[in-house]
Amino acid sequence: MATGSGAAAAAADAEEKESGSRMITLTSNEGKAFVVTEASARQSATIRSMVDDGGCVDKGFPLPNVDSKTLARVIQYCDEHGNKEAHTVDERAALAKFDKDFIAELDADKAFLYDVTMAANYLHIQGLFALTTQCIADTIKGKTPEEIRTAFGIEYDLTAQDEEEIKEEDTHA
Amino acid sequence: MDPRMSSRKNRSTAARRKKTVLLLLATARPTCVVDDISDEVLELVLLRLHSPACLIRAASVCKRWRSHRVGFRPALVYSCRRSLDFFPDTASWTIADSRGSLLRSSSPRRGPDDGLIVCEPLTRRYQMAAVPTSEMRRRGILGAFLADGDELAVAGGRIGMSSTQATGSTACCTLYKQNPPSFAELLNPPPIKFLPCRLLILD
Repeated sequence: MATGSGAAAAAADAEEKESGSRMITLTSNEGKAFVVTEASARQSATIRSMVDDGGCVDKGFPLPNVDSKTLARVIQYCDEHGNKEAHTVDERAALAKFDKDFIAELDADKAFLYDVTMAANYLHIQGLFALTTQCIADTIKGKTPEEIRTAFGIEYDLTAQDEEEIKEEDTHA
Repeated sequence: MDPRMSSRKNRSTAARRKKTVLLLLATARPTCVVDDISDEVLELVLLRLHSPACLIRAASVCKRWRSHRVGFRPALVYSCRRSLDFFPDTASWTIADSRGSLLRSSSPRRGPDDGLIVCEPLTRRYQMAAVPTSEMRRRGILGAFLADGDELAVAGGRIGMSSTQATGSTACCTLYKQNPPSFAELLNPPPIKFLPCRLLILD
């Protein structure tokens, strides 16, 4: 009984929260609309400032630099961080676990990881940007230049002069 | 022309076109191309390496990455090599531990002056520990390590140097009364007795 009423109260609370927060429409460069909570959209400093400046919340925000696939993944991050509380140790641990799984999945598809990184930069989503750039940096760490080239699919394009300079730097480092 | 023929021809053209599109999609990203990342973001990624050695290796990868060394070399690599020049008598101190922006150094000398210095290269400030290593030896303490933020919170301290107090600091190092801990133990310290010591400001 007690748990039943508790659950009902929680549901009512959630409903109140839901009705209290506005919904915002984000549109990808392919014209696909994504409706998100304001709390979720506010994870992006770019959108946050537009909303606070009294921008056209009702018309939604077109994002010409982000495709649908990338936007969907970015919104997945924003929903988790915007709509969930992070007050208790458990809540923070749940978010940390989400981040870990989220980045592990992205790391498996590097091209997509770069797209999400660029979107996080464009939308100024600090947490997501830190997560993805650190992931890329971790791929670089501890590798030789040759291993880095392989990991990132970079072609060797250094001239003999560059090689001379590198040798020089190595002796000073 | 027979309309059925025409429709069949159209179908086969459409099928060919579809196949071409699929091929294009498949070959659009043969490898993960890091060039999708803008220069600005690449630079921020490189700054996250936090290691001069990694930065130098990264600068030897390709022309594009090399062009960013101008941005980060003087800022990071150079300062890492010269960052301890604000220390008095630099040569006699060795870096014993580092965490975040803090470095702990200890002197190999024995005598009344030996001890611990916790320094923050970024702000070029340093503090000498009130507990000298000779005292540590007398008490059977074998090592001192910079503590994690959580652990310092327990000890009433915090990581980083505080400039709010004129006479003392909340920065502290943790003294472990046991054999030098393993790396795993350092990351996840066992519940052992530690003495948070106040550090005195020299300057």
